[in-house]
Amino acid sequence: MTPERGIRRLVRMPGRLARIQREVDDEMSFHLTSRIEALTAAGHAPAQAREIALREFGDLADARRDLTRIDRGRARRSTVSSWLSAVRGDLWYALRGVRRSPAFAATVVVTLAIGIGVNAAMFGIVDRLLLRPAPQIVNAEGLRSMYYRVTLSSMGTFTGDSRGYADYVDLAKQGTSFAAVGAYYPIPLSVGRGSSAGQVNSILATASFLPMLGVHPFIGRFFGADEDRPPIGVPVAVLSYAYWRRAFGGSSDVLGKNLELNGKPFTIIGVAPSGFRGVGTEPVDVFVPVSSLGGSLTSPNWDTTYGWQWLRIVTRLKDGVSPVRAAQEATTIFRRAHAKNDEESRATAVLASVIPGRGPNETKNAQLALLLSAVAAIVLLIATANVANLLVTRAVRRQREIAVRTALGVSRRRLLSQLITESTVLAALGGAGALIVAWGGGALLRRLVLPDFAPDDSLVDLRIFAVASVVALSCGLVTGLAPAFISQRTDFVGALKSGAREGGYRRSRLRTSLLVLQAALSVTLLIGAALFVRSLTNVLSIDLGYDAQHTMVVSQNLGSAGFDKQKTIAFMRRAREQVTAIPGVAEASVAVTVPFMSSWSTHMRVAGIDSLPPLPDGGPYVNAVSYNYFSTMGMRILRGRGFANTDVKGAPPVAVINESMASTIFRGRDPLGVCLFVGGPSAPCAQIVGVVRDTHRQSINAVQSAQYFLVEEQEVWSEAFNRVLMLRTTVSTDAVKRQVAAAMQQMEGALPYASVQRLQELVEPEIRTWRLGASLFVVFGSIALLVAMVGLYSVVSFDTAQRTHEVGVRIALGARSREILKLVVSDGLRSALVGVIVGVSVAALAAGAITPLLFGVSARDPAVFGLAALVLLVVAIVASALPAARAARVAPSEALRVD
Amino acid sequence: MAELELVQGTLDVLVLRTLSWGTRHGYAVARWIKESSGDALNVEDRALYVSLHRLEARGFVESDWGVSENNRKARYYKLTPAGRRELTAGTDRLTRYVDAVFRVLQAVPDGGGA
Repeated sequence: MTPERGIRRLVRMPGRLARIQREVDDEMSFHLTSRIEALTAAGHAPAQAREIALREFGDLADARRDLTRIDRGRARRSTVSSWLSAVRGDLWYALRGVRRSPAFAATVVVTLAIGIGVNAAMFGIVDRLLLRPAPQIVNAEGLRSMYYRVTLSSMGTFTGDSRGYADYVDLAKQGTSFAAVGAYYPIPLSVGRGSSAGQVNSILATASFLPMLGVHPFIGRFFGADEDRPPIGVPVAVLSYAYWRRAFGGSSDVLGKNLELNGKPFTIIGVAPSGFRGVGTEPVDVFVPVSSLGGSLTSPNWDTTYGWQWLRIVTRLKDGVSPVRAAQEATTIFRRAHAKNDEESRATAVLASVIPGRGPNETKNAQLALLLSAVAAIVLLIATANVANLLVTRAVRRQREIAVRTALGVSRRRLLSQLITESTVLAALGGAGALIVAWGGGALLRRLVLPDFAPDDSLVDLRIFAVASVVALSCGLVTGLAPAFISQRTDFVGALKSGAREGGYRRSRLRTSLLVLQAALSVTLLIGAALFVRSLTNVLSIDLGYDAQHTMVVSQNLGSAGFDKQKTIAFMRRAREQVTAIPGVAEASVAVTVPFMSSWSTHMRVAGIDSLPPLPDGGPYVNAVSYNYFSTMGMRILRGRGFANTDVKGAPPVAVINESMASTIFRGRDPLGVCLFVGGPSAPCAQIVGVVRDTHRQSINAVQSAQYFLVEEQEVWSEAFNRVLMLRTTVSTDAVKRQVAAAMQQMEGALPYASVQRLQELVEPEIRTWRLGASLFVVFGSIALLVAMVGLYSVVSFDTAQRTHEVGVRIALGARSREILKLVVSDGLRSALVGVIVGVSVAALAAGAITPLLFGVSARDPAVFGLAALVLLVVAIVASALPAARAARVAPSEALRVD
Repeated sequence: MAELELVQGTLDVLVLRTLSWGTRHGYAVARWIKESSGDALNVEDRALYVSLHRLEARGFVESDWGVSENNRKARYYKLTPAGRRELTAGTDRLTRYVDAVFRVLQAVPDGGGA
């Protein structure tokens, strides 16, 4: 066997590697063969010649290995560099294209920037709402918020997360499924007194709460179990990072300082890490032990009662314990404790994720966020379809250029990579624009959709950046493939031989489908927008029974300033006069409960009626007010009289009921003159003197609530001791709010913070879903319509330009310009019409999904569908009429000369 | 005369020099270096090929396949412009090195020595 054959036999390698190996082998065998021949010719015996040649050469296997390694390295480097230079070439070609037709590039980039940007911004919302727990929490998957599903005979089934401290103790002591159990209660506290009084958002937490979330103090320490011992714990406070920076300038000697919260001095012992706000969404300023304020905020027996339902319970599951098992155990513990209560003894514990939008009562927000994401995705789809169409149009226009390049030997693969590079460059520019849109629009969107969320500290959200990049690149690929697909099928030789005239211009099926798709999606969005706008106008036209825009609520924690009930009543009487003197305030009255903020239902008996029937909205609900309450709120008296300033303490107690109470409890009997007994067996008779119009109590949904009113100074209803002021204002500016607050804080020396809110601010969260849906659907729908319009316009005008010759011939043959107009417009209209039909069908099919988010309008409202279809058709006519008019003006001689 | 070991880098310069007269295959380069040195240089053919391939990877020579004088497929090497510059620089380096060695060998210490 010759050495060279042996070498060849060593190993066979694949592809390029094999070729390099083979060439090295060939070279070495050429050397050896030549040398052996030379030695033989010089007189050596063949065997000897071979031996000499091999000795001179040195180790064959070594040489083979070294040479192959060197050559392989060289091949690799040259491949990379040739690939790089090809990419550089493509990029240069693409950028030159951008420079050559800036209007085209700008259209594409702006379209993509809007499409991608809207999606990136929406992703920011969905991310915060549904994907991400609150910041700084370690291992949030193991945490569960506790809810209890209770079915009440009066109000139906509801799932609530507010429970008593005793429920928390039960779970912490008896539960075996939980590694940790904590409870917290978010509440605004007044800080400081008098003119400098302010308000902080606090979290009252059990000592277990902060450690179970896995956070560690930024400085100082958290409070321990020895400081959170009921009934009265140690007044220590942990500041949030943001509040520490804002109120104490981030100074490290804050530890040990005092902070007066609700009139009580607290010692600052630590600062929480940046961004930490517990498991909730709202900003937090300070964390204090639940036992430090539990007694003063609820009742003295707060730590042993189930009656005060205020705390939210969070648990951390033990490793390996399934949520189902934990829920079963929690249910058992809860039912055992509430065995005496018929309704609560059948309650079920529900364990929910601590991610904000995943709670059982968050479905509406989450649904809306998902719906809007779908809408944003549709906008992107329309934008992408549009860009693809523009690129296809351009590819057709460049058919001859491409044909020439192909003829010059540019391979189809290179051509494809150029087309995709071009669209990717455009998409990358679009993606960069999208980041700007997402940045500006995202902040706006967050304020709209998640107004209560703590502001985000991070300037650039990496997750949004990643999403925008991925979407942009996919868009580049998809939109680049469309023209590539067209050009792959183009008959280049034909294109080269003929002019554009005979270039066989026919609008491809792909382009028509893209147009139809855009039209269909636009119609769908328009229908959605119209449905939400109708819902919003329906919601806004609801008569709540009072003017929420011009009513202000003033509440102040007078209990923390040591006020008892008598002192509060006297103070309120003076406050009413003081505040009425402020310009802009027309009238002030006192109340105990406030619509959309608080409501009470207490034991009550009606003379002559043995037991009250269950009412549709529960209750009846009680409020104690000053005599001028009805005029302040603008509530009309329907029968009898309202309260008068003669209904004072000592005068016979009186009551006013609303029309719902009159109709549901008295059922046609005359309520006037009947006695109400509010409270225990010794309750005095409060005689009904009038019937007042219904008002919305807690919801804008038109559920009738039975309510009755007492005079607060008569003290018929003994439980109520907190009072608020209700103001009717002629001017509802923030300046008026500040004046009112200042007056209330400084009336009697230095008083705690007075919160002043427009009633509308309390109602607004109820309306938010519709307001949001309407505004975002309108914005997205308009964008979609605009993009679709640009798309239709550019395609029709391009088509028309391609048909200049045909049009010229027709005109030369005597066609009138109206006929030309009809020819072109009907062409554009046909695509739009098909799109409308498809879009309307899709909207009709999707109606079920959107129904729960609407108000007072059917998801298949024919007027809405008709309007949306009409708008799109009008837009289609306008978009194609412009190029059509241009075509109709063409002089036949000119048209025939083209190309 | 004993065979001499080559200092690192010297072989590269010799190879470049050999190719400066024109295109050659590896076997011809090997024979030329051996014969022109009067068989005094102890260089394995293997090392010579490694040198050729390295020079190619560094861009100083380029290779292509051709047919040899005895009608066989052979890999031919050619100097690139960069290789020509490297030859000049390498020759210069080598000359200065040899000069320096000679100067040391011929030098005599000042003032006799201790």
